Amino acid sequence: MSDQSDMVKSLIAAFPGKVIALELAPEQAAVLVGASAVRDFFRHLKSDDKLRFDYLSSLSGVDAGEHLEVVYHIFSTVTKAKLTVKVQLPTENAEIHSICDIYRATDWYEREIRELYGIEVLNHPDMRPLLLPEDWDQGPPMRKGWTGRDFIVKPE
Amino acid sequence: MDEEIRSDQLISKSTDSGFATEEFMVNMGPQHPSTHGVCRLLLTMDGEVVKDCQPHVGYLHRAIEKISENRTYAQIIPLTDRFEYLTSMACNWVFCLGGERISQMEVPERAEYIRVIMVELNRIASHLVWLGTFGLDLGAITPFLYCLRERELIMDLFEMTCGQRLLYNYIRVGGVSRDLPVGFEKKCKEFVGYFMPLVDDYEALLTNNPIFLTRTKNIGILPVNMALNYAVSGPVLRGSGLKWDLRKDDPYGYYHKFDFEIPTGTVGDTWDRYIVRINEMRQSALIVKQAIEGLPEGEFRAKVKPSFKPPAGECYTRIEAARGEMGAYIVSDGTAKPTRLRLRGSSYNHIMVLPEIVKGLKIADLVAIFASFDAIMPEVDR
Amino acid sequence: MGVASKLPVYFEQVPGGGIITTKLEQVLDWSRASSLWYMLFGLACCAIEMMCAGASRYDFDRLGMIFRASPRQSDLMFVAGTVTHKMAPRVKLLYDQMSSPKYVIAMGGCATRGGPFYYDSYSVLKGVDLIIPVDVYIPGCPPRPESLMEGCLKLMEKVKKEKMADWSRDVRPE
Repeated sequence: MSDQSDMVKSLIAAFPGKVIALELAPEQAAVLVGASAVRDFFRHLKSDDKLRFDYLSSLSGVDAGEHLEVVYHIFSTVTKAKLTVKVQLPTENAEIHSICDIYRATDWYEREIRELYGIEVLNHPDMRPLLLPEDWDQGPPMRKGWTGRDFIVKPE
Repeated sequence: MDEEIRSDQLISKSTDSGFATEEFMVNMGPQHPSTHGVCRLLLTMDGEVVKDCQPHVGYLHRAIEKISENRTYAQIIPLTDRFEYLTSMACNWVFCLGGERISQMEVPERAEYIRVIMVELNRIASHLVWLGTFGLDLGAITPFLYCLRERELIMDLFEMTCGQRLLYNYIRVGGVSRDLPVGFEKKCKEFVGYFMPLVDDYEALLTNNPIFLTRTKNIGILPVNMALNYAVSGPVLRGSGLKWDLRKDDPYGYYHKFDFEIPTGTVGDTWDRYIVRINEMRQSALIVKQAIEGLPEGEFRAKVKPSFKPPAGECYTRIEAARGEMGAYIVSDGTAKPTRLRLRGSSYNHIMVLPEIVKGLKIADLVAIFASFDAIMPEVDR
Repeated sequence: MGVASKLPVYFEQVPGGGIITTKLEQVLDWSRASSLWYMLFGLACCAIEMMCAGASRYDFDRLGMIFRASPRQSDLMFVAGTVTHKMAPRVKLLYDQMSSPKYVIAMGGCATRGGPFYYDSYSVLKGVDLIIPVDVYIPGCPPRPESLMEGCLKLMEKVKKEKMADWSRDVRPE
């Protein structure tokens, strides 16, 4: 849709060099943001009068083999716009800034990607494990190729 | 002779004399009759008043997302059932919608109508369980018995169609797994005619009851801005006053063919969330009536190979389930198994916002607010 | 008279009525089996079928079973749902808090052996009998309320065969 691509173009213009458009599927606006620009980007999405992205629906970690990804799906209840934001991180020492003071919904999502993917989230107020037991010592289990003590793989 | 001392003077005399109070921690859960599953709330209390509430979750984390990375699309559908067991038709649908969008598949019209009928019946069934347990939490046992009696009729309809009472595995990629059986339409119309006046009976039990009103009016007010910041959805968001329903605002399926309203609250208290769900039951029954009367003939499933392999790509689909927005993010690499499946449940955000609105209220109010959020733990823990 | 001929009792006609002679154990076992109070311990999907079994259509109350919220007041625990590693110590704690004689019914596939989460899951305990002794296993995912009732009836038969000496020990007669 033309207003989706206009929106993506305006975002690229607002953050030169830090934001690239992604072609995921027709009618699906998506951008790739550099890890250092994450906080400013989301602050802009929330506070800009034309964008008004007020509803951050989901934050997922993805293990894409050579790199890790953090994918945000964000929507606007005012303009009905949709946007997918991806951030690519290296598999070793992955770090991302927390945005839980901008969107409170990401509070627990960020705790989850830390324990399941091993992505360190900087400046998060509470980094205790959320879903895994507190004495979990087997590493981030959602990484590809992970094995653990009580993990039985389904035979083909 | 000393003048008569009134009892309220005695109380003020005792607090004036400087009794010190101390905060203490109370552990509510994971096994507790009113936590609706395995949620642990660590409460810091000062007498009856809750000073702080910290939810601890993860007691039902079954690693559904990890398991799905090693299953084909047909094998994942029964797993999505267990993601949100009270509305498993909706869980199946959100996942199949993702597979259909990635592979740009057309779903036949009859299948779309059947999907709407099943999901709306499931919504009524889920709200009936909610109403029963809501009454139970506040101390009323009668609504529980009445609501589950009606729910058994809906379970009969589902059992006729797909053989299961709770976890259906019915909605598949491309349509539904089998056509509606002979006699379903008649039984469904009878049910809708029987059910519509019963909602008034349930309201007669609770809505204007003075004890119920005292326990729910102006308790647990959730302002709209806070709700959006925490990505709260469904009846909880609508109870706070925002008219946002994905069936109308981000349409999917054939909902545009049906005429229904979106009940909305005003203040955002427990009573608003209650009345929104009661009215939603009425609207769902209306949608089922329209769908069953307008059901077209045709195929119940598109032609899909048994080894379904969507092209490489990704998709985030979301639908309006009974509790709120349910989302599925599928990343496909062109093989029969998805690389990543992320399921998003609305209860996750609802429990996240709970500590913000219970501070300063009594523990009995916390029970009422938790029940009005209608949170289910597998949506939180997966 | 017809009913009495099936029970393990001696029945004697005396002027004015009858005398039933039986063992104290029989009477106590029979009264315990007819009034098994279960603890509300629903973990996952099977909990909903447990609630349905206790509600209007399939009524548990006619078997003498009512739910109690506290483990101290109940003698039966339905483990209804998946037990995860995080939840397992709490299940064991609740089992220990129940007073003897106590019984456990593992309801559903997940409590029996891990269920659909047996393979590829890192956090599910593969069967609740790894941590507590189980009396009756009920298969199904989720089991119908009728299956649940049959499981309870089998447990009642088991209770009726118990010896008094075994009540205070956590020993299950084979």
